[in-house]
Amino acid sequence: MQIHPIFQHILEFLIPSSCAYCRSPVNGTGIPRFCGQCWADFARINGPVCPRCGKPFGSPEALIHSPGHECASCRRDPPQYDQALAAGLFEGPLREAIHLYKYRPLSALGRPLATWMAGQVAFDAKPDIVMPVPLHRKRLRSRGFNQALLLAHGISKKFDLTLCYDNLVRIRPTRPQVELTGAERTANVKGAFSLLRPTEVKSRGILLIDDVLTTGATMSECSRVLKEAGSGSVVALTLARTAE
Amino acid sequence: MPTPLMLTALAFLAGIVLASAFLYFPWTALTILFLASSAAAWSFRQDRLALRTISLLSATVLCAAGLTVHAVTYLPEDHYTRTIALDGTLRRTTGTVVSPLERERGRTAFLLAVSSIDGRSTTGTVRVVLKEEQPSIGYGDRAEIEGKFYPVRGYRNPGGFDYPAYLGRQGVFAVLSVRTGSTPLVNEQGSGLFRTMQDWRERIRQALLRSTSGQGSAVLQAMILGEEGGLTNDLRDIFLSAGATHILSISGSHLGLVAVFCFWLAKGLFFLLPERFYHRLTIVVDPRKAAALLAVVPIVFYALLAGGQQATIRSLIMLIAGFTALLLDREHAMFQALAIAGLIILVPDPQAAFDISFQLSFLSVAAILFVVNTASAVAPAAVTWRERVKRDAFLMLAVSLAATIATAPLVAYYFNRLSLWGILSNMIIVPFAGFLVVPLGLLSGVLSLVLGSLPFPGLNQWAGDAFVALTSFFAGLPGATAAYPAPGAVFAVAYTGLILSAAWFIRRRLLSAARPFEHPAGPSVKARVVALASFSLLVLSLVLPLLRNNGDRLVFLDVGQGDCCLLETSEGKRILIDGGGAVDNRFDVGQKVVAPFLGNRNIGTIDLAVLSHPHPDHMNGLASLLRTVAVREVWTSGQDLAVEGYEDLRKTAEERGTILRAVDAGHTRSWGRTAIEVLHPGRGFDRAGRRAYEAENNRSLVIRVSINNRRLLFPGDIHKEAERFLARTNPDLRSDLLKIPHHGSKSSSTDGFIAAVRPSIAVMSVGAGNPYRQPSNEVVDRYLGSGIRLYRTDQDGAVLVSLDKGGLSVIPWDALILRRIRPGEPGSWFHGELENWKRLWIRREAT
Repeated sequence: MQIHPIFQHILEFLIPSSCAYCRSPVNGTGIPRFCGQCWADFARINGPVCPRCGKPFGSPEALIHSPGHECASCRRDPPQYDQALAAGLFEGPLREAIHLYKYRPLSALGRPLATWMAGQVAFDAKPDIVMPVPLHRKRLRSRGFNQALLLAHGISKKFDLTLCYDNLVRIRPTRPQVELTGAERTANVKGAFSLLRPTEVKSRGILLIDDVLTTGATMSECSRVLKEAGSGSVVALTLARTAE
Repeated sequence: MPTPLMLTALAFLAGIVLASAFLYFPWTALTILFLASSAAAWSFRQDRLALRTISLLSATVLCAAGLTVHAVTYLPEDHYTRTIALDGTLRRTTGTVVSPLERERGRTAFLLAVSSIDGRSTTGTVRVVLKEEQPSIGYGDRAEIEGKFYPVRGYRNPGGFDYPAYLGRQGVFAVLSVRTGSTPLVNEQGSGLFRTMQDWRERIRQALLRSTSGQGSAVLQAMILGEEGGLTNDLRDIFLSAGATHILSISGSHLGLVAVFCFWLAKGLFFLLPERFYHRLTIVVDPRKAAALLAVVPIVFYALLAGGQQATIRSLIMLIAGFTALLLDREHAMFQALAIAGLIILVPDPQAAFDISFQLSFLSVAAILFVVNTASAVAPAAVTWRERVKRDAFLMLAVSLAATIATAPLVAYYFNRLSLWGILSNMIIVPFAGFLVVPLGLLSGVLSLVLGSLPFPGLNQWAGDAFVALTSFFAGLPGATAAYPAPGAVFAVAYTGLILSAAWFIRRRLLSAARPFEHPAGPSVKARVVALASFSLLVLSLVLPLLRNNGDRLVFLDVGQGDCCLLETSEGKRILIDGGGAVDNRFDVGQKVVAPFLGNRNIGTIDLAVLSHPHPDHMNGLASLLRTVAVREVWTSGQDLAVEGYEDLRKTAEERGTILRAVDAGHTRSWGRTAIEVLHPGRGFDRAGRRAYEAENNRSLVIRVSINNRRLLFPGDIHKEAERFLARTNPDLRSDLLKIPHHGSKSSSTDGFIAAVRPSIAVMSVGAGNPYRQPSNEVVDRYLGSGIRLYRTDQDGAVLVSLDKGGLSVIPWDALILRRIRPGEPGSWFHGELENWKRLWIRREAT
């Protein structure tokens, strides 16, 4: 729902809202709970990242000599996806925004976040299908919406891709990944996903969408299911990822 | 941090208060305005306030003040108060019904927007009272009504409810009374949404009446349709004792809980959609927002169905403002939403600020918002259901506690009673009503429109009965309620300061504990200073009354037609002589007139009550009073006790441990310098009169009270026969004050009796416009002719007598009621204000 700027100004006068991050007044940005400054300050990823999982390297020269150099964990334990991309780093105002979006939950942030996300990424090869990482029904019920779906919808519109949200499903409830450590995360999501119509993904390039990538366990497990069904390349795109 | 909008709302409120003060204390109000402007100018010079803010606030204050003065004082040329005399002449009035019908046993009342009286075009709104329960008239009808106009009458007692002022705020200045058998002639049927809703309401009411019964049914009708006619005094009492009276009239908590219920329901239904469609929906709109939008529909319907009473509509406005904030992702801005709702209500009707429903809902909502807001900022995330239950229970307790604390002074002011269990009972009673009784009844009611009869009658009956049983349980807990005097101005200020500083202090503490980096726990000097100052003021306001003169005093209460007199001796004994009462017992004089007065005087115990004779205008009030006030002992004559209503009193006395003592001439009781003697009926009195009621009157207990060599005579309702007998058997009847027997009727107050008593002061307890045409002019002249100072409760309101060293001094309460100045005549302002200050000063002494 887009509100006309004039009404936004009237609304801001009647019911002013302050920026969730810096507490200064929000002046008609059209983005709920964020001032233009903080929204512009979302942490972008500059410098070299692991070409596989997207993790930023500590040294700016990391990829100069060997462009295909993967990070230690990808080499030791290669993830199932072909590439993971992140629009930004999970810190500062972006972190606050994702928290509000997911846990308030403030669904109205979905559209502007997706727009921002779409502006940050480019694809080498255009994928065929966009799929959000699914929620279990129980989680969906309490949150009301799947945060990844709204992002995926924005991406599919921007890049004119097919959106599919009813094939990949979560078949058992899992504990929230944030509560777990790295090893536990992998075990937690093991066997949690399934494809209802495996044939649909055969040889197709898949773009998986989620909000945050930390260890990549969820994305990796989804990719495994997709690859087993014979999909083409799987690119995992998230709104943000942690630096470590 | 207050936003411009909140400041505007507060400024508007300040303007209303200032204008209302101006109408009674013009120069004081102007001085305050001048001081405020100077302060604003000073803060501008000091760069503390922006010019923009100052202009906005000043404009708002002046605007509010202007609107208020206009609303209070302006009446058009052709308003009925300016074109006809409210003298009870039979007139033919035409007009439109502008309110839902208010029904009671054998009576219907509604508001009529007058268009003509006796063929002359007239404006104004009048309250029509018909003596039938099912008149063929409804909302929006244009009707012709034959009846008599009377001024609105209330009971004028210190601290009592000002009914004329209450109706006046709604623009109603007269009652149009239609005699039995006269039916309004409907010229044109009403139509439109309101009318349709009214018709539905009536059909649902009939369906409820057919399928449910008893107290449960009465409660259902009140909570679903706003029909309070079926609520008996006993039932109201139960709710009052449980601290849940508010649940009986449809207000914010009903609409709010029904909205929450429908919100959950809609959310649940969305979730039942096939997953594919559900996901599709979430892309377009947040299901929670859609559910919130859908939840507004039933509460608008509910509010209209419930008659669209002012209080309900105001709650609806508040809720819709809140919902809108939610839909616009501004759930953090609930206080602003509240401010908007306040402005929407107050701008068209500034006088609403003085309505109890407005005050109570705004205060409780503000308190609840504060708690919810603080809780959402500090509460740790609850993951397991156990944690969630714990958190929710704690939140509910905090909400209930905050609402109770915030409204306590107002509740004490209006009802003189506070329920200590209210905090707990509301946590259970309110959700029970809001999530079960009301949604079930509402749904069944709507279905009954289609089905023709109420579905699930058994379930509804059970819900209603269980609700009453639940409330009774809380009402029956020991120490359920206590009487409190209305708080004074000093107390109110101190209390406000104390809770505001406490709330701020607690909030800071919680915030700094939950998020130490964002909210460092600095020293809160300001809060502490305010708290300390408020606390000292509070103590002062509690101590001051103790220093007041506690001499012997006597009050003849204005109980309409009937007798009721309270004597407080300097030794602290309270003696009540009769308790007033309505003949048809429709209006509960005991609870609505006498009990509030006692509460205001901080009286919870009556040492002795005298029932002169068991007639309703003396007994009904006493009977109902026994239920809530501890009365140690009641004296009766022991005769004529088979009359209707006495059994009720006897039973209550038995339950409450009140001693019932039959006494006759010669019985005495003395406390210190106070002596109480029974002079009549004595042995050998048999000439009681031909008719039963005469005989009963003649057998009234006659009481003489002697204090400090002053004598007060209370002869009940005796007629001339008993007067003669009394004079014969008591050679010395001389008294300083006489309560005139039998409301000044012609059959009493014989010359011989007056000569024997020779009072200097005589007080007549009589209702204005009573059907017995009491007092008789002849009797009035008889007293005035003998040089006796005569006071009468129909003209003077309560009559306050104090027995000081010097003698008896009498002040009629009417003389202490503040009078409005005439804004158009500035020359009279000073005098008017001075008189009002004098009244306040004397009030302090006399009450």
